[in-house]
This record gives sequence, C-alpha cells and structure tokens, in this order.
Amino acid sequence: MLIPLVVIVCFIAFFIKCYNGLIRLRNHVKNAWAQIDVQLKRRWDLIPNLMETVKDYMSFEQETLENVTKARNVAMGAAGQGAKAAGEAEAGLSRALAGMYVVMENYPDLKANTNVMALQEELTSTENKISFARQFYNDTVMRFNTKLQTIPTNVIGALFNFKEEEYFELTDAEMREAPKVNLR
Amino acid sequence: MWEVQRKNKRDSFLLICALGTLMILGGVLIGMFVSPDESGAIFGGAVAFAVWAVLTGITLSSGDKIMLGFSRAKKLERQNHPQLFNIVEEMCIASGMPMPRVYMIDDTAPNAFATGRKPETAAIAVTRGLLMKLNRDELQAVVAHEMSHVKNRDILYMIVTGIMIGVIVLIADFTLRGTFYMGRGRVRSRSSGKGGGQAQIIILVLMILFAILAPIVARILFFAISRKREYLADACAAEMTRYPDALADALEKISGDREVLEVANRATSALYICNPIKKFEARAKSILSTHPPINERIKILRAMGRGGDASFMAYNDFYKQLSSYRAKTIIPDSAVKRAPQKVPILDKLENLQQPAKTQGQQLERLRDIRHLIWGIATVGGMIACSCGAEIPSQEFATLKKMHEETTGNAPGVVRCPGCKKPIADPKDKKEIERGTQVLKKDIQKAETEEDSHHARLMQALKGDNPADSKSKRKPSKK
Repeated sequence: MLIPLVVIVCFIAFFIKCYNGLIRLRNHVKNAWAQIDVQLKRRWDLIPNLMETVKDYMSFEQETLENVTKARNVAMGAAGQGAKAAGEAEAGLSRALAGMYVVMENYPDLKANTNVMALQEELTSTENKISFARQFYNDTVMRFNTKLQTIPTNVIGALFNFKEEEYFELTDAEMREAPKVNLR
Repeated sequence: MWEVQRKNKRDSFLLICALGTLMILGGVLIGMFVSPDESGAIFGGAVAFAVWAVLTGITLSSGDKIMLGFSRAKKLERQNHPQLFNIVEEMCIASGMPMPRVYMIDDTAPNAFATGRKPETAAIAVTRGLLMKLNRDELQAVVAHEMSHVKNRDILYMIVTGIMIGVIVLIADFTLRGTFYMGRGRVRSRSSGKGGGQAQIIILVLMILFAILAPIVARILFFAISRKREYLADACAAEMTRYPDALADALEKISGDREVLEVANRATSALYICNPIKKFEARAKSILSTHPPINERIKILRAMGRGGDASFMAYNDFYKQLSSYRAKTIIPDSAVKRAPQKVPILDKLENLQQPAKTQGQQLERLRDIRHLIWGIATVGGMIACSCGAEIPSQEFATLKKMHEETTGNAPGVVRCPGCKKPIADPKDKKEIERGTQVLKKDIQKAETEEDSHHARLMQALKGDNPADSKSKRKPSKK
C-alpha cells in the first residue's frame, strides 16, 4: 500500500518540477525580450537627435536621411508583432543607419563636431547593446525550446499549451544574400 | 557556466568548513600541548573557533573593499566616462548580470581586475593606462573577461582560498613556535608513563610536519586553481563578445607593456588579468605562477579567431591542442552542451579584401578601418615622456612642426600633454647628445652623494653616535 503511494508522490513532484522549469525559462525569455525592447526604443529616440544635428551639414544627402526616417517609422510600427517581424523591421533600420554612417565619413567637419561624436558613440553603443541583447535572447530561447522539445518535458508542454518562441534574427531579404564567411 | 558557479560556491563553503575544522583541531592540539587536560583542549578549541569566525566574517564582508583600497582605486561617474560605462553596460546585457561599480587606478601600466562575491556587489577596476592604450573592442574584451570572473564566482573562491592559505601559514608558524618554546619544559616534567611520553613525541612530529608542508601544498593548490580560472574566464569572454581576436589583441598589448603596476604586489596579483609583476614573467612556466603563460592564452584565442567559431567547444578543442598542461579539457562538459555549439565570428580582415556587398557589411568594414588606422597611427612607435604619457611618433612630428610654425623657433619643442615638460625628439642627434651629458652629470652627482653618505655612515658606526645614524637613510634611486 505504501509503495504505490510513494511512487505517485515522486511522480507528482517530478511533474511539478518540470512544469516550474518551463515556466521559469519562459519568464527568462520574456525578460530577455524586454531587454531588447528597451534598447530598440532607445535607438528610435536617438535617431531624431542625430537627424537634427546632421541635417545642416548634409543638405545634399536628403535621400539618405529620408531613408533613415522611413525605416525608423517602419520599425516603430512593427513593434509588438513578435520577434520575427520586429527582426526584419529592425534590420531595415540598421541598414539605413549604416548607409548614413558611410555618407557621414565624407564630411570631416561633421565628424569633428562634439555633439555628433557623442551621439555616434551613443548610437554605436546602442547598436552593440541590441546585438548583445539579441544574442542573450536567442540563447535563452534556445534553452527554452530545447527543454520544450525533449522528453519528458514535451508532454507537460503539450498539456499546458506552451508554445515555442521565435528567434530574433536581424536579417531582412537583402541581408540574407550576404556571402558565406570564409572559414579556414 | 552554471556548473562552474555551483562548484565554486560549494567548494568555497566546503573550504570554509574545512578551515574551521582544521583550526579547531589545531587549537585543541595546541591547547592540549600547553596544559594536557580537558580545560586546555576546550580553551584552545574555543579560541580557534572565535578567530576563524571573525576572520571569515571580515573577509567575506569587506574583502572587495580591502582589495580596492589596496589598489588605491577611485570610483568613476557615468558622465565623466560615457564610453567606458557603455562598454560595461553592453557586457552586462550580454552576460545577464546587473551593472557593477566601476573604478579607476591612476597608473599608466595597463591592467584590470574585478572583485565581488556575487554579481550584485561586483566592482571592476581598470587602470588609466588601459583606457589610454586599448581600443574599444579590446576594452570590451577585457571587461568581459573580468565580468566572467565575477559571474563564475571565481572571486569568492579565490578570497576563501586566500584566507585559508593565510591562516594555514599563521597556524603553521604558531605551531612551530609553540613546539619550540612552550613544549620543551613540559615534556620532561610530565609524570605519565612511557605511553604518554611517546604520544607527546608523535604529536610533536606531526605538528612539525604539518607546519612545514601545509603552506607549500596550499600554495601549489592555489596557483593551480588560479591558472585554470583564467582559462575559463578567457573562454567565457570570447563567447560573450563573439570576437576572440579582440581579447588576444588586448592580452598582447597588456603583456607587451613593460611598465610595472605599482600598487600590485604578490598578495593581490592573482586577481589581475595579466601578471602585473613583470620580473617573474620569465618564470611564469613554473607551478608557482598565478597566471597561465600568456602566449598560450593568446594562441588559443587566435586559433579560435581563424576557425571562425567562438563557442566553448572550439575553446576546448584548441586548449587540448595547444596547452602545455596535461589537462584534457578545461571547460566542464555540461557547460559545453548547454551553450550553442557553434558561434560564428564575422571574419573581420577577410571582409576588407572583398568589396562590401551589403551595407551591413560596410558597417563592419568601417570598424576594421578604424582599427587599422589606430594601428597605423602607432606604427612608428610611441614616444614616451618620463611621466608615463605616450605620443605616437607621427603625431609628435606634427606637433613639432606646428610649434615651429607658430613660434618661429628653429627646433620645435613638444610639450607632454600630461606633465607639460618638454619631450626630447629621439631623432635629433644634438638633443640625444645633450640628454646623455645631463644623464652623465646626474650619475656623477648621485655617485658623489652616495659616497659621502657612505662615509658618514661608516663614521657613525665606528663612533656609534645615535644622532648621526638617524640621517643615514640612503635615498632609494629607481
């Protein structure tokens, strides 16, 4: 009589442990996404400042500046639609910004402007933070998805409708055609 | 690496308990030796316990304050060093740790360390030399390395083993003194039979053996552990930054710099990223060094960079191939399995040779160009002022020409940006001549001073006059 009881108790304890593990990892994923969100918002806020500072110097580069503003609006619009959509929109914004940096290299007095230098440092830092937050998020998602897909937790996951999370990849259609890295 | 963290926490706990047991045992033995009955044992044990409790309490709670005070580190504010704080923040995001306090050591030798038992109370210190000499990527790699030390609870473990060694050395010292001075009389005056006398001698022999061997063994263990931790921190930093070449570059610059970090000493050297004691670098291959040989660390990182993979698995593979220690793998298997198996690096220099296909790649290329430009600017070497500041030689030439144009003096004079003293142009023969003359005069002056001091000292010793001998302190020349 005692043995089946012990077995059932063990089983329930194990069940609870697996479920809690899944919940914990899902919260990790949400937290990691929130980190990215903070950095993305920061980048959206910094861009108008940069536009204000450079537009006097770069009056002949209207198209580049407009690209950045358009891409920013697209990115802000794609917020809240999941990791994949956000990834594509943010990739577009990164590309537009990179185009602007390339053009800025041709204006030495613009580069020497202290406001611009401080803003560029902030933007570089924000880009770095986005990429580090992205890698942290993707690592967390990997752990969650792995746990969800392996036995025995996949049973519990199916029971309680845990869904796999999406990875946040900064590639849009154009960047996906980049040539492969030459690994020696 | 959660396994490394857990292992460190558990080992620290076990070590503290082991130390407590050892101390109480030692206290009991000494107590029994001094007065061979119950009261002696209890008293000895109680004293040892009290000492252990106080010691553990103090070191665990204020160990990092002591370390920071030792190094004369100053706390930094965000508005004064935005780039450094940005770099630290980026590494916090990559590692999932809260933001540590940032300190600066006012020394031109490049080095860095981290303290803090847990990430919430962590602190990172960098020297002024590090900020001057390293570029952004390399600074980031160094910060990543230090933060991995905190994350893996290496600091906790090192502090605990540090206390252990210190205390073992103290006990050993005390036991030796105890046996020589206090025990001698007692052994003879004991009226117990032969059995009692023999037991006393056995205890005596054991205590002496312990006193001699324990400090040596403890030190060897400490150094072995410390070396392994450095490799692990390197691996974590490479994986965190996804760019092992930056850490390799940083290590090269730091180890190649001949300046000595003045605030570091043997006690604190283990916590720095590179061994700050330059004289012992030559003997770094022995088992008595706190840091693994720097060439090995750099080789492993560069191999990872060439292979294009910054994962733990890659680090393990190259460590097996390139390390001179006989350990097979350095990173525990659970950490390797849990981390991504392949972490691609964008091979930076390769991109420069191909035209940039997309604007994303152009941004990477800009980063490389900035890196290269820094290298080119310092290719002629750096010209140093005696205060420690350095100027790239091309900038030196430009400054000299500017001075000539603005003031009209024939040879331009370049003033050091730090201390404002004029710096001699290493290419100017006349200046070199002048400099050598001044140096010769200085040496002569010093020699005559030394001679006169020496003469006075001899006189004082012969005449044994206490008033004279006070002023005989010779000036120490660096």
